[in-house]
Amino acid sequence: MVIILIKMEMVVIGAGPAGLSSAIEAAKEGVEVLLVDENLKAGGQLFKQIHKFFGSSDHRAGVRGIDIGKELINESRKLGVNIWLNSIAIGIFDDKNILIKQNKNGRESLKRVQADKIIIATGASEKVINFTNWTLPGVMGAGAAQTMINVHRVLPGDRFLMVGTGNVGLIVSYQLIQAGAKVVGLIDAAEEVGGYGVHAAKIARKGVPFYLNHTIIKADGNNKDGVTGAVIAEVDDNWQPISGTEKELKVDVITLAAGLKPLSELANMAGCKRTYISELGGWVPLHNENMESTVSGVYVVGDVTGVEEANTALEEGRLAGIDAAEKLGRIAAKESNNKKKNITKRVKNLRLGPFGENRLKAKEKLIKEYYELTDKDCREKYDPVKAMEHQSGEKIKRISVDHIDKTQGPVAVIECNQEIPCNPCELACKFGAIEIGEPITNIPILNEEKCTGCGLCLPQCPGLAIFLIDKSYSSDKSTVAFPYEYKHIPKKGDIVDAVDRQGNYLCKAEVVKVLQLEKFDKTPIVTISVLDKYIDDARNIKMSD
Amino acid sequence: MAGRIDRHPILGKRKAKEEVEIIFNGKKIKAEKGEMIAAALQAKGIRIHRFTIKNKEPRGVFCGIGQCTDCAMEVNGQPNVRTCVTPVEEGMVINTQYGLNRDGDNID
Repeated sequence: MVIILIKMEMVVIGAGPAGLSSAIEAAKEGVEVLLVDENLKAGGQLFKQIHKFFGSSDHRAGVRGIDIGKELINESRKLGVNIWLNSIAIGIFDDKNILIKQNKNGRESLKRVQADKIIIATGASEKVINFTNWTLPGVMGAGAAQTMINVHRVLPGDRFLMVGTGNVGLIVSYQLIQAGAKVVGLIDAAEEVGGYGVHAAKIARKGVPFYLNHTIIKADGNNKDGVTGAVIAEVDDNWQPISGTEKELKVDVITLAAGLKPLSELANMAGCKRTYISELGGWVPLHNENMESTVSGVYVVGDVTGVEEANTALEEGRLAGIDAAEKLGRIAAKESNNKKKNITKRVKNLRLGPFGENRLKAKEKLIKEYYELTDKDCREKYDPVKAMEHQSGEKIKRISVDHIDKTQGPVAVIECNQEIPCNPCELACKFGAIEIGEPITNIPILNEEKCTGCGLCLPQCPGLAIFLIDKSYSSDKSTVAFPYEYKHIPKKGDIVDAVDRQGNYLCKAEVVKVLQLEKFDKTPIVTISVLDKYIDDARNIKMSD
Repeated sequence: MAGRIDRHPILGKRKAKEEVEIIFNGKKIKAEKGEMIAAALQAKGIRIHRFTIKNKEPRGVFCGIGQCTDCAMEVNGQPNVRTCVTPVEEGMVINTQYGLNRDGDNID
């Protein structure tokens, strides 16, 4: 096979959020960029992320991952970035030579590209958990199920068991329900939910049980059908299954959300020094504050340098893109430093709060304070009320609606009590009634004096954690408005079942308003009326999906 | 329900796409032009892709993004094709892979 030699100023390997943003930043400064990706489409894993992103407006918070992916690809094309798809970077050799196997219309060719700067943005892949029969078809990564439903639009089964309650487990469970699946439950060996409380609350109010302190013992099934069931059991303090607590669940798919590991092989091959940091997912290449690895001119950005999320990946990519442009003489040091300073500040903001800093330790500590395990009941059902009560006596007020007066009219109630880096609600309020300020991990504070009850913050919250309560609806009834992102949207006048934060039936409710505006981006707002005595608890409705 | 998702609250209604015909273990099935082989099979409820060499255990889609190779099958006579990242083509012949290929030739 003939090897063609090409010279490039900068080659980016991997066209996910980190790779795209580094290519964009460098191309903006006039750098000639080649972006290669082994897939048929650019965007990495953004196209399976159909939920609204957390973060600040700088991070396109409140916009769905799928739309961010489209924007990034358009921008890089506009800036003249060369994109090679179906092109695998096989290796990186001496003097920054990259060997790329390209497949064009079924014809394979090898290209050797010599680059002044290389940006490695190879991402991460899902970790596995092994248990009896874990290799049966029907056991798959949570990300694989997410790809199947959101990218290929095929549901790989009817009844799902989610193993793991980190944000991936929580988000994919929600999206499986949106796709029409039954999520039979989520299990986690930890005693508390690992991901954001608002994500857990979304599925809890659909009535999905959380089996905390539980592990999976085995998958049931056979060679013809694959998975037909799962056996789970409680674990003791040493994470060992307690005999006699086994439970059989009828499921045909078991999805594993056990975290991700960085794909740092290529960086290793390039000679980048690595270290093992379990909080970051495993072996990660070392880098400086500009994302440059131990090999001069080779940068590492995104999940390959530690598993986080798309927002941090985007920022790391920008840092590397600007630094590379500076080193190539395309941008003055002063300007470059200013830009990098701003980005560094934003990244720092994203890592504030218990979920960002020192990932695992902080998470464990926070969740311990956050959600105390008292009885078996709450072990099996995630209870957002209890979770928030536990935070502090002061903050519990924020989910009780006792303080709202019968004559007051509509007012927002924000059920968001964890320090997560996110602020779309603050920006959504035109009246300045919601304050987060700096840092971005502050818990939103609602100034009721300023709240007009317009409800514009409801669809903007990626956690679907804001409700609008109106006690003045009638002499004995109040209304609650909430976001509702499911297939069957009720109509005004419908009588539906109102449920509480755990999906338990409360009472019949009348749908008094359904608002679906373009700017809500597919997050309709449903308003129901219930008797006053139910207004503290009614937070969702039950419909067939 | 397992299979194709026709309606979705965020992604909207599924647009009708051009169909192609593929042959799975000798049987003709319809697939959507350009979709991945694994998706086309899953839409028909097929999820056993191959059997391992030594223990003859079934395997199917595991990572869905071309990393793990569990979903490999024999495609147009070529074994070990990652079906989750290989699009269908008209007339494509797809077979369950036994060991290293359809005939069960293996190294043990």
